[in-house]
Amino acid sequence: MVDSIFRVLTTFGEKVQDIFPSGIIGIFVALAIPATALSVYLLYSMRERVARRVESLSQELDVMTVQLSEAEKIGHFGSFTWNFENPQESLWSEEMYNLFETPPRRRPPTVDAIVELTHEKDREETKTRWQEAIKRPGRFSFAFRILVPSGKLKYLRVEGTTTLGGENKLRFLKGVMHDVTKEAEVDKAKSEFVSLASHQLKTPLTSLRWTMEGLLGGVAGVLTPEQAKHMNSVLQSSNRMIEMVNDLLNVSRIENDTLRIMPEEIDVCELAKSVYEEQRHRAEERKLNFTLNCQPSMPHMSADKSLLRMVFQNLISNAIKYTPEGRKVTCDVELGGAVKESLFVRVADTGIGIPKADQSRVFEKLHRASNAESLVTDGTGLGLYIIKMICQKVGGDVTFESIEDKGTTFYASLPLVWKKPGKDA
Amino acid sequence: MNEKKTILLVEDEAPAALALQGALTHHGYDVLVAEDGEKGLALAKEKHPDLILTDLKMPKMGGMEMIAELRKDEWGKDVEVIILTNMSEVEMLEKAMENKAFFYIIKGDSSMADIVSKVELRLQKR
Repeated sequence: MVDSIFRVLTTFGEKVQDIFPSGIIGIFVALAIPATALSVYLLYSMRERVARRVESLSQELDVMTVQLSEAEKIGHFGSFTWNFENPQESLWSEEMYNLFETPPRRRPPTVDAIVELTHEKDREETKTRWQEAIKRPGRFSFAFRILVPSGKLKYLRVEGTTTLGGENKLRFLKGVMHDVTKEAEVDKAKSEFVSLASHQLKTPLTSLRWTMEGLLGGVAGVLTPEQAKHMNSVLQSSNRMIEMVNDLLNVSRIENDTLRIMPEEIDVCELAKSVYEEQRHRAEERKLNFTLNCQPSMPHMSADKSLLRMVFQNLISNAIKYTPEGRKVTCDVELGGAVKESLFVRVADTGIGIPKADQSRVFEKLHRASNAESLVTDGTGLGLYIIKMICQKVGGDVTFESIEDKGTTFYASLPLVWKKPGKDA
Repeated sequence: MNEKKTILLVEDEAPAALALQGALTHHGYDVLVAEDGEKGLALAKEKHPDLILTDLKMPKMGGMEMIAELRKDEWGKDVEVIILTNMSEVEMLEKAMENKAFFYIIKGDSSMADIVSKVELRLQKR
């Protein structure tokens, strides 16, 4: 084919040479015309090759899209891009629509629409989490429940990244959402099992405790000092078991959202004093200078007695446990806040302190600081998690300051009036 | 204490009943024990105790039903009742209040000394 084109062009060149019989122009025309023709041909064949390549790439892309879509289906995750600069370029994968059981459309639902689909109980928190994700560039991750049109309750976990543009304006939210319903259900079953088992353990443990206390009190005759010593040791062990079972029960109540708040009128100084008395012997055993200061004009509170007691017990027993012999532990109870509307509890020790590396994880469930673990081996790492949850649930908080080897001070702030959550809360 | 006061203890958990009976007897009370609400109700109507200390979850008749039945009785309508409960049953306490049972003891949180002092306090107030 090239030969025949070349021949035609050469003949055409000779004809042109007849018109321009002499000189440079003739040579130029004779050479340029076939060269141009060759270029046209090469361009044409390249275009064909590119088209074939594009077609093959597009086929590969189709295969990959199908594969990705299948993977999303199998893995129960969907991917999303919300483009805030060009909303028309926002995109949801097919599985995102499947997760929300809604038919695919040209423009995916907005973040606000997603919040609206969230389960009533999670809505406020989910809204706050999305708002935080939108404000801060970088990764975000949280879980929430949605009610889908079929009436099913789904647990979704979103993992994504936020990209900001000029003037810190939101550009993209990109990421994936997983259906973690199965995992959540397994977790719930586990938590319910722990709750049931602990509950069943509590009845015999309580009987054991009462029997020991009765025997020590002389119900079946006065005990010899040696008998009383052993009986006391059994009582201490059973009380320790009761504490652990209570911790487990409280964790499952927190996680199953069944922690009840039963406010009643409380003389907080009296409550603090009873915890102080309860813990005093432990402090004495360790020769600690242990003091309680309760502001005398303290008004009565409306709080849940056993939950408030837990806050005191936990902070004080930790301070005693982690303070070496002969040092100091102080508990101050006073009114605080702008209009004296809060109870402030400050428990300061001069103990081992919390290493810097552990400080961010102090309130994490099951976390124990490295130095605490080596000093007291039988802690569960549940206590501070529980009281943080309690304080936050009633509208307060607990924080701390600590220097390793110098000591730790915990601050709990709690409203004077605890509200009983509504039946649906 | 001028005269010996009688306490009816309604509790199906035998070791707990034994421990409570022992401690309360030791503190100078006459203690009657019933292992379910049905027996408790019969014993209460027959012996007219000064105070009833009752568990909630029991076979045959639960504590709440027993209290409701008692409140229908001429004598039983005013008898002092303290409920022994577990944390998981606290939602039942509102119902208890409707039946004029205002006092309760959470078992797992209470030492024997706590229980005895609560019982003493309620009996002094009568």
